[in-house]
Amino acid sequence: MTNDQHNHQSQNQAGQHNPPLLEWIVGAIGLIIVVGLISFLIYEAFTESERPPIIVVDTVSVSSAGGNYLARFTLDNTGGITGADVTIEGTLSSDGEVVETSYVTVPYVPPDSIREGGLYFTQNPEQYDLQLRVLGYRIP
Amino acid sequence: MNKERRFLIGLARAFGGAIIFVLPMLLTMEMWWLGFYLSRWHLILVMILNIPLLIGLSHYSGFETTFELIEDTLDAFVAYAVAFITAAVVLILIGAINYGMAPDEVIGKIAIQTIPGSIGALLAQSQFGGGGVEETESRNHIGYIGTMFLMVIGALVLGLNVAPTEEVILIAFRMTKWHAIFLALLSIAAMHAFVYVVHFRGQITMPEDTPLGSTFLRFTITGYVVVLLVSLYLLWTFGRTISTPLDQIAVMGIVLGFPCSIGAAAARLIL
Repeated sequence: MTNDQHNHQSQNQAGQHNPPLLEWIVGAIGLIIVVGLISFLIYEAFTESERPPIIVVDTVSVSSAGGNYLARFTLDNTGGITGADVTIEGTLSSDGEVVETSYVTVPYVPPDSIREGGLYFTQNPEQYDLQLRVLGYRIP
Repeated sequence: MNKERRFLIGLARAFGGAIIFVLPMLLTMEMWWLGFYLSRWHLILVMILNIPLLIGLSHYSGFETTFELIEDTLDAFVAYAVAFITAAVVLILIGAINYGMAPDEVIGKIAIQTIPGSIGALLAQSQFGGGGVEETESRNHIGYIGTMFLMVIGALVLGLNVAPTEEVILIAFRMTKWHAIFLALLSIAAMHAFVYVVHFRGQITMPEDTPLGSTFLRFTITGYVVVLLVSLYLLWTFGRTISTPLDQIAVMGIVLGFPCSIGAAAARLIL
């Protein structure tokens, strides 16, 4: 091995053998992140329940929107697992007779998470009895 | 150049590598969904398995031929930190993480992305790094196990992009068994051609007296088996094998094995 090569290698190796303090700090942050993530996931794994999705729909507001009327809602899943293709039906009725029906499907509603959506009606929901209900879900 | 400065440049490269590898997955909605509905145990397992994988990657792609366990472990956790920050920032910027989401959903979405991100962050060191004499020297000394290991990395890099998509299942449903057989044969042929026939840069040259059958059996066929195992593990991790008959799982494994085998072959030339 020539002298030049030798110098180059020992220089390189000196840098590699003693990582700078900053590298230790970033590495420690990484370790905390990994341990934190895995601990959190283990906690979730032990506390997660196999209870089916319990999805509750709440009407947030009713407003006019571009010639139609918009009823906005939130979905809250208080069950244990995610519901997929959650279908919401909204009906306007007067004296027990359904005047108008709208549907919408929300792809995923994970547990404890809130999802938002809206249903359009051609007639003003404020002049009728507005009912929103969750029709069903699918397991992803 | 002092050590701190060199580390900061390396860190910037790691962010570059993480973003290149993880961006396609950050922008895939199936990956967000898997973040919350994937079994927590599958997610925990893949995060733990990723640690020795990163240490090994740091060892094989590093400049040194000696195994510096502490330093490679340090590299692995730096890569995890880089991947976590990259994933969190991008997911928030694109609105995939929002106010009103449960901690479980947010953490799950980030955690799943740290796998490709951390691999990318570590690969950046060998790819974007100013490769010196040592790099080419160590390449020849990685041995049989090292070669198989690099193939696993290559299979993961390409396979992770495809595995979460619905298309893998859809394609498997549409294929006949004959399609599957020919796709498997094509994957094997492509793997062999990539490494030994087509003259890419980094081509592996065989000694003159090596019989064709020997490399084919020892590297290509064994490599394909490794690729299939990676492919099946990814399918299992992403919950694609639940209540699925064995023959469908086999076809899905071959479908995902196609990109995995290309990734594995490319890894032998590039890494």
